[in-house]
Amino acid sequence: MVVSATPRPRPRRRRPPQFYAGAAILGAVVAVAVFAPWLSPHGYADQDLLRSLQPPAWVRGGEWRHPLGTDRLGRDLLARLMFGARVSIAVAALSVLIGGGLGTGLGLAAGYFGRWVDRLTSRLIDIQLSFPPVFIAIAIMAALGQSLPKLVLVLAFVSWVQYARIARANTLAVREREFVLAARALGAAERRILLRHVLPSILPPLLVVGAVNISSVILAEAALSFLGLGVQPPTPAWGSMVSEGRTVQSLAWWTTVFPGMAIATLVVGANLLGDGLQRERE
Amino acid sequence: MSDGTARPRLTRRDFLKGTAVLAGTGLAADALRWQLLAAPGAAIQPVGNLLIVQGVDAESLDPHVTTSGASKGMMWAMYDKLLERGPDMRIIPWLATSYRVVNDTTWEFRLRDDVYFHNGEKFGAQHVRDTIARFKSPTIRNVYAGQLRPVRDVEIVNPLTVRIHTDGPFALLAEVLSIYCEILPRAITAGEVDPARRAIGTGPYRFVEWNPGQRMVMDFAERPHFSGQPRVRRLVWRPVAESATRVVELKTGAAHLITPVDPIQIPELEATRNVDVITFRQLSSQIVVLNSLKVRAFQDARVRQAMNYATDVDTLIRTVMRGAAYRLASAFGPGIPGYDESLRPYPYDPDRARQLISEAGFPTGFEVTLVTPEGRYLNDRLASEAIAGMWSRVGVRTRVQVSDWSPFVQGVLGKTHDAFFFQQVGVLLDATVAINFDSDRKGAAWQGYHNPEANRLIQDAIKTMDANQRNEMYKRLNQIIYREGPWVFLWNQQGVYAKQKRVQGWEAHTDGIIRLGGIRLS
Amino acid sequence: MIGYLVQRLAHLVWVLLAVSVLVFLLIHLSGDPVRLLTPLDARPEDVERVRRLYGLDQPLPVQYLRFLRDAARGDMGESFRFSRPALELVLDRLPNTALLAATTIALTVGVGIPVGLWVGARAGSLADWAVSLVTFVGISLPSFWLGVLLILLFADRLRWLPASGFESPAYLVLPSLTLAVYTTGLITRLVRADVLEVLRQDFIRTARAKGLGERVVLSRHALRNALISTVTVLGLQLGNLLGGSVVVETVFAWPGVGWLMLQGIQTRDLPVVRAVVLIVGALFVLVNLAVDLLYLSLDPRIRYDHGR
Repeated sequence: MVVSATPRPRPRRRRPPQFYAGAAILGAVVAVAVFAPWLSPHGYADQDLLRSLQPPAWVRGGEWRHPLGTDRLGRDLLARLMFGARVSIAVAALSVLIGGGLGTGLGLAAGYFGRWVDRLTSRLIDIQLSFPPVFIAIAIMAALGQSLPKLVLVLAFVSWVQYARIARANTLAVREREFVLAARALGAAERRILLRHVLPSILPPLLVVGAVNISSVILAEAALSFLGLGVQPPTPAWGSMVSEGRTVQSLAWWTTVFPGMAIATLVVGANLLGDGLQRERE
Repeated sequence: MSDGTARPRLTRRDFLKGTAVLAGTGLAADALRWQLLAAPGAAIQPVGNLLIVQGVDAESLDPHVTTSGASKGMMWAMYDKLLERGPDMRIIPWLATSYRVVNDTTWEFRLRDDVYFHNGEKFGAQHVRDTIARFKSPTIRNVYAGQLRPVRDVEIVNPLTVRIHTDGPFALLAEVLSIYCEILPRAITAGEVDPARRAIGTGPYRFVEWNPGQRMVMDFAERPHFSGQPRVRRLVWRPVAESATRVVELKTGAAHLITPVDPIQIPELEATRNVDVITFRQLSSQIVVLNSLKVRAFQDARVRQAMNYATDVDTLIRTVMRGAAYRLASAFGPGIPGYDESLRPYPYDPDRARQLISEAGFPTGFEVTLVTPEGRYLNDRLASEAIAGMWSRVGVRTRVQVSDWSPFVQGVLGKTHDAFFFQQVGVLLDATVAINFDSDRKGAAWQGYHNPEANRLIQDAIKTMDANQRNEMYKRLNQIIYREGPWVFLWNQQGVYAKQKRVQGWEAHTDGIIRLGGIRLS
Repeated sequence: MIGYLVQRLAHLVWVLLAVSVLVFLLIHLSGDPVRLLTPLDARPEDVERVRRLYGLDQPLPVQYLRFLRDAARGDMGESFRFSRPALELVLDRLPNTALLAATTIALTVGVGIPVGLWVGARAGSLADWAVSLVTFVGISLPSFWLGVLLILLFADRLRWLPASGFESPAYLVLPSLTLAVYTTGLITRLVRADVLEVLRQDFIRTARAKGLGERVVLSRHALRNALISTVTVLGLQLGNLLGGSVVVETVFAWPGVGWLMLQGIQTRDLPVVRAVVLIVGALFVLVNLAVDLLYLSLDPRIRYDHGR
């Protein structure tokens, strides 16, 4: 019997294709957002009133100077889409990081330690959940005026609750599980238990929440922009572009369709990534 | 078309005689046709449900509390005023058949006979007295109560004649009564019925129900109205905020008459069968107000003129407004007293603009934030962004700030905006000029403009009983404003109504308020 | 149990108080309501008089206390914008929003849970991929965009369905469809994830090893645990819907509380905003309570050690 000298290599766990697809899309959008000033053929505020509502290049009446057409003020749609990506990316990334971190931490603590921590957190969650997130966001933005930092904080503020609830519920379920009780019985430190045993156990649903959250933050930002409660002009945002395009949608379909597709694409990317992460854990 | 063309004594003569004098002109024909004095007994059977969709809903069922044009349209189907306005905005008799000035502090109104409220009360002099008293009452949330402040008392001469006594000369009483003060029945003025709950008027339609924000329903009143209405069995008014949606409603038949319509949708509507598009030149002036309290450069008239030279209004109208606007040469457009057709609009001349700014002591230009609401005026944000681009090209580095309506209003009142995109001027000019240009009064929209002669003209005009003289004063005021440019003069918007072809017998009014006229469904 | 319920209801009261104070401050500190009600050409004396009539000339604490006193009697003030009791306006519209929400939830649950379970058990299959694709698209579309496109297609071009308002059941179709696309996609994916998670866990393996049928394993263990997260998310989504998907109500001019809230804030109509927030808030807390009770019945292992 020949025993092989080198051990057979363990098969590398391959990430599912969704993960790569999602990462690719997100990466592409982030790249566009970051390099917009260099990639974009025009400035996003450059008006050309004589070329107002020009169709995309491949439609009769369009020209390649404005590949995706122009809006009412003659501003290049492609340029505005590229710069609009900045708003979407920035808001999404920051809101999810802040909201997710805060929510997971609080939920974990509440579920694990119970007592006043849980009471306090539950109370906070209740107050927060007293009215739907969209309301809060709209109320604050409508009342106190628009700005990017406010938008990020408001969206983070309405997001954390989802993480907290799931984290808490699942922590409560996991807390009494055999391996946790075993670790406790062995005298392990609380923090170690939390980080090494509880957290990994509750992460899978949280990651799904996270992926859903990124996309819902992107959609929320788009909705707020649509309602006119997003960022200030002339900074373009995809949601407000859809809103602007509504009145001319019969005439100039490109002004509503392309921004909407951009939003959908970014969200699809986020969802693919999330799905990929989730499948990986299976 | 301004009142200035009428001879002075016309306002003191019996109004019906006056329209007879003008019978030869098309104007009088309009007025007569529109009055449609139906003979009693010549009742026309009302037919059909008319669905009217506007942008906003009424503020209240109480007519004295309502403020928006949309709500006035609804109220005036159920309530009447002493006087009304024809499609050309001339004053026409309504509940008052004629009026005359007796002396500087007394007006006499003859009232129409055979008019009844929906609850059976017969209209007479005491209703006028009680309604005016209620209109001025401090316990009602009537923001226009001050319009009738000079009225001291209402004397009942006989059941169909009143004399209104004023503190000092109140030249504009007739004008005011053609816009404000819907006449109420005793049931309301005596407090038995809450007008916020139930509407009882003399109008051709009677109130059925109101679901705030959703719909208001009116049915035809049993008695035929002196205007020839009602010719429709039921009126349903609905508010729909988006212009695009209103258009869809019209196309699908869920609405018969809609307003306002974004002019960019006119081609789409014109291509639709069974739909008519009606356009008119609106009375109100679209402008940019320059705040000389905040921006030092704007204190110099040369700079303000430069801002006018720097704005390519014709291109804005052609592109942003898609042709749906009429160039304003000065502060007032046609139809407003004081309109002067000899004033030429400022040509687009960026070189001259730069030169003037330099002369005024700003060779390197200066910075300005142009504030605009969004969705309040047609293409407000787009136009402001375009204007900012134009100003930047002559060295006035302009940033646009889009503001929610509430902070926008605060900024106007607090005089904290550098410059803002705005709309002013209405049928009653005295209110507009007083709050915009009078530096003694420092009104709501005043932003620092100071000219003693303008102040004098404004303050004297409202005391001038003679219409011709008064209009000359407004004309002089307009010329001053034109030269000194506290505003950048843009345009009168094109007002657009769209209706289904089966809606007949209706004419648009240039103030944008729906008055039923001879409306019917065929 | 009873103690728990009582405690939660006590929560409700003081949560509502806290919220009412916040709304009050938010509206007042962000602009003058009176100035929005009065046209610019109104004389200053008229504006001040109106301010007094609305009771807005009193110092804030006094105004707030007056509100509490009136609210205890069921009077939540009169809308500045519509001159109607705010409570009445909200109660008139709440059924419309609730109807929209209910229809959407029904669609979501009726389609999402079965499909989610089905593909969860067949992870990796072609059906799973197809459903994943469809749900991806579903949760990626901005609702306002979808709504606008649906109006364009079904109301404008095809003339099959009405564009806005609520005059008959047909008006319910497009708005609820718009909302349901997102939530159905969401729930389908979540249920699938839960099913997969649960299938991995030890006791399922044990049950399988015991030789119990696949179906039994799924229905008895997986379903119950999968529902925990689903119920949570549904509870949250219900809140969103109850609050009135403001955007959908705006796009379709649906006469619900979402639209009322938005225009209340924009016009600084304090009584209306307050009434909407408090009523919707109360409803939401009650719904959360119901959700938590569902938890308890679904997973007896969760114990609440309040105060222990």
